[in-house]
Amino acid sequence: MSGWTRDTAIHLVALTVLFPATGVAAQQVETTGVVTKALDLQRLADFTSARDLLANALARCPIQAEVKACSSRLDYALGYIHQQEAARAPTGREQLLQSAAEYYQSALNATPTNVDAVYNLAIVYRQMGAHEWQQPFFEGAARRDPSRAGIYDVLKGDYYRDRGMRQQALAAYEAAVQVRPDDDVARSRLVSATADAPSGAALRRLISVYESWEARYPDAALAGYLAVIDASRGSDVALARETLVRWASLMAQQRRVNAGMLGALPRDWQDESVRDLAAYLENPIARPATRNWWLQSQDRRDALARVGLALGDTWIANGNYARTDSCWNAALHLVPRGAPSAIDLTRELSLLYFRVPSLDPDQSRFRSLEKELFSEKGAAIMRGDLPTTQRFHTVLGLIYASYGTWGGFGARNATYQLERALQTAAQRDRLERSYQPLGGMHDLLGQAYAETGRRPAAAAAYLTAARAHLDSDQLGAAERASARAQEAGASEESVTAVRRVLDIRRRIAGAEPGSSGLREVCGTSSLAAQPDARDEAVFLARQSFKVWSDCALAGASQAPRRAADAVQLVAGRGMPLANLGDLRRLEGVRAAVLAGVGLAADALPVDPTTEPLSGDVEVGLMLPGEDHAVRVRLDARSVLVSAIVAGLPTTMELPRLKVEGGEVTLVDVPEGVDRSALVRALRAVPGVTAVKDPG
Amino acid sequence: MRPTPILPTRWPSLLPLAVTLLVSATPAHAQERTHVGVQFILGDELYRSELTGAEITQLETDAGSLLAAELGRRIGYLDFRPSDSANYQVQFVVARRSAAPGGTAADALAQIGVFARLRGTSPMTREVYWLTLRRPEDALMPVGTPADILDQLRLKLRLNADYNLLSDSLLVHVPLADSATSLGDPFGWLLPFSRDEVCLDLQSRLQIVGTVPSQIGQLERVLTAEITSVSGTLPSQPTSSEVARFLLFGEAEQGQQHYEELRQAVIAGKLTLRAIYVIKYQPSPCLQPVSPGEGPLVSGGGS
Repeated sequence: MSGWTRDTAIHLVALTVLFPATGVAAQQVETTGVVTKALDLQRLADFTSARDLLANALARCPIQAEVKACSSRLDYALGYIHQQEAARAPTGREQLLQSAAEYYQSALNATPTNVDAVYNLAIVYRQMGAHEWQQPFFEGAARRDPSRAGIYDVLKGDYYRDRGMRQQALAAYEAAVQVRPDDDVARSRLVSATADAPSGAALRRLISVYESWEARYPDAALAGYLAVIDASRGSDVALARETLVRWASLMAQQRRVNAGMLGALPRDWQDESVRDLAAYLENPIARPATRNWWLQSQDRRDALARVGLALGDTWIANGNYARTDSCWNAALHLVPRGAPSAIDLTRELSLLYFRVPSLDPDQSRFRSLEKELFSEKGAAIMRGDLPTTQRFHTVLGLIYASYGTWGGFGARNATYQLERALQTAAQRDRLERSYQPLGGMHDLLGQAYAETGRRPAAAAAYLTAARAHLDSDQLGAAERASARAQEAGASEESVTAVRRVLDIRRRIAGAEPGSSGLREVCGTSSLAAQPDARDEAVFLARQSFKVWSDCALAGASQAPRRAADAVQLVAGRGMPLANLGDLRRLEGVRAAVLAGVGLAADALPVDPTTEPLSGDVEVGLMLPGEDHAVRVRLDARSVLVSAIVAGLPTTMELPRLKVEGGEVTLVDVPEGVDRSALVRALRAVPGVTAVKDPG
Repeated sequence: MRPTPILPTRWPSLLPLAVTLLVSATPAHAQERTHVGVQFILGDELYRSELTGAEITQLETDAGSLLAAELGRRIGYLDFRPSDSANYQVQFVVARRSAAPGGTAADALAQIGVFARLRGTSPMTREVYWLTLRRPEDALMPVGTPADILDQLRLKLRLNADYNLLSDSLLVHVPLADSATSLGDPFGWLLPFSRDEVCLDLQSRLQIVGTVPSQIGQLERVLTAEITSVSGTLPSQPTSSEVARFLLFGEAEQGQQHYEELRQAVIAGKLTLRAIYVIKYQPSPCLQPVSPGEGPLVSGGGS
């Protein structure tokens, strides 16, 4: 007798003996043992033994309604073993899959809420190929297992597609993308099904979907535009052309432009829009013919100029600076001065001349660009596009600073450009509810003021820089900026205020986690000086968040409560995060707060694609190299739990809780805690709608 | 009573009823996905000067693992692993987009980003500029800690990285397989993979490279094929071919040069397959069933 058979026999005897004698709980334990053993056998590819073991156990399941979980669970396991065997067996796959489906169905008949059985059954059906009898299953799967609705929408779409029901497939894929826009497969399926859009209106609806993908999924958006072009070029050439403009513009933004890019378009589409774009790609330095299709409207011109910008960018990467210079100057003539692409081209040309002085030895070309750019019209347009404006002023400020052109009349100096860059950044932060510390920029502006003899302004700029460096966790840079502020004549009081914060941050950073030194600095230090201005109050709030978080995460006393205070600070004020360090802090303190009451935490969603739920709080975070702030979402439950932890008396040991909506259930109350006092304290927390005490 | 699904007997129209299986000299067999080593190299001096040697080493290791995991999640037909010694190697190198001939001061206003380089496919290294980490106007921004750099990379990989650019420019040169079962009618190749093994779906396009004998020796021939069948689409055959029903089938696209020549070579058993590449990737959800040993079986309301 082989080992497994002997073990199985003993096991079955045990089952037979135990089931009637020890009741439901013992039977559940035994079922678990059988399933575990069967999985071990399956992993050894001994499918026959695994199946036999489960089938024998199934035959012995009690038939009473209260223990139907036995048969349901064994049916599920049998379905799984058959499914695994089908994936590996050289023969008999169809029969194995059919058996797997039957067992899963049986498990579902006993336990309709077994969502994993729904899921596994969906996979089995997909492996069997699409058959008409599967349709009710695929149409109802998302209702039975809503947490996987997006996956079922894709599978339903695939079912329809494979059955030749194209319109239904398209609708299913659209639904899948709505539920799970982050799903590569769902997006890819929708793009593939674009050709089946029944009308121009449906295609336009898809274009708006693809447009919404441009920032987050540019590759999918490009594929979507190509699919629309392919679908519409025969029936609606205007739509195809319009989409071509979008496609070319996005290709340029993604720096994917090259001479062969048009190979992605349908080969037999010989439209003038394609022909004229090909002519431009062949020679972007020459002026396009007046009748060129791309010169006939503003948006086409802008797209073409962006293509030129991207082409030049490719050459610059290869060191072909002169060609880039010619290309960008030619592109600049395609668009009016204030057009967004013109501003980008001017910025890049300025940088080119700065980085390659041989192209502009007497800086005359740089000055000529300035003249173009600071025309009234250009400035007016720039004010409407804040990210572009900030980038432009920053680059010019850095170039002027590098040239040593600190001051002077008008806009052609570092001071003007840096001031405008920082003002624009502040304006963007107000609109996007973000915060860009920009300590280096404030430092440079301080230097610009100092160089032009404006000592009080320099002192203020250096102080702002010191605070910004603290926000960026650049403690050394903050120290240097505060010294420069003092040197420039900043008041003793204001310098001391910054240095007090710096001192606390340094002591926390230098303390061993959990040490007495940490306890001392976290227990006694306070940032709660009286701020004399709103900006300073906001700065102190940001610093408090960092200090409380760092203390909590380093294991200072009352860690969960400090963590809760930190979460509350962000949630209560909608306070933007200053850097990626703050994102890690927020993830850490949120996890600590939830763990304090026995709850698990997953990662914080960054730029989630779903709409926030009631009570969720979103805060901004500006990342380097990005034009817009990303949103970090604190879920309503974490916010409420942090309010609870922060609101309970500090002397009270934290209970374990279950929190659903505003309803709080006591799961485990530590010994010595007065339950009624706890319930009262919980009821007093804003947002708590009910407190249940099963004990 | 357990339901019994009724299996259909019809065959999809994409394949004719009278299919002839012509097995080539190299029959399909279970094959591992091609292993692609992933490496992250912090090449730029701005970053290197801000970190210690140990921090750089750790960051490169962590970022290599992160990239391998993310590529594996996005591009399922290859097996990405953090490694510096695989036959096919993708290196992600942080470097300046272009050097400035104007000297150090001019170089401060540089764009710094991640280049992706493919090694191992030919003596030539293929390279694309992939992700921007710092633009010229970010020149005064702090580089941050290794954790900051890793987090920035993690967010960029999730939020706006262009994976098609990697597929189209680099991974198109890494073979999916070096063997397949060649069929003459329908003319195509049964790949040694099922859909769920390589996450490839219908409409994925393949490039087939093989050689055929001629009077002047072996000639290399290239054809494109499209995956037109993913499961259950080939009729029942003797035991050896039943597996084929669950394999991906790439059907040669008509109208190509050498189409008929190669089809005849396949029928005569004279095509020697060299490699199959994915030139257009249509992802398929690689769904794995939930084991009865994992997690709660029941969620939602009670039964």
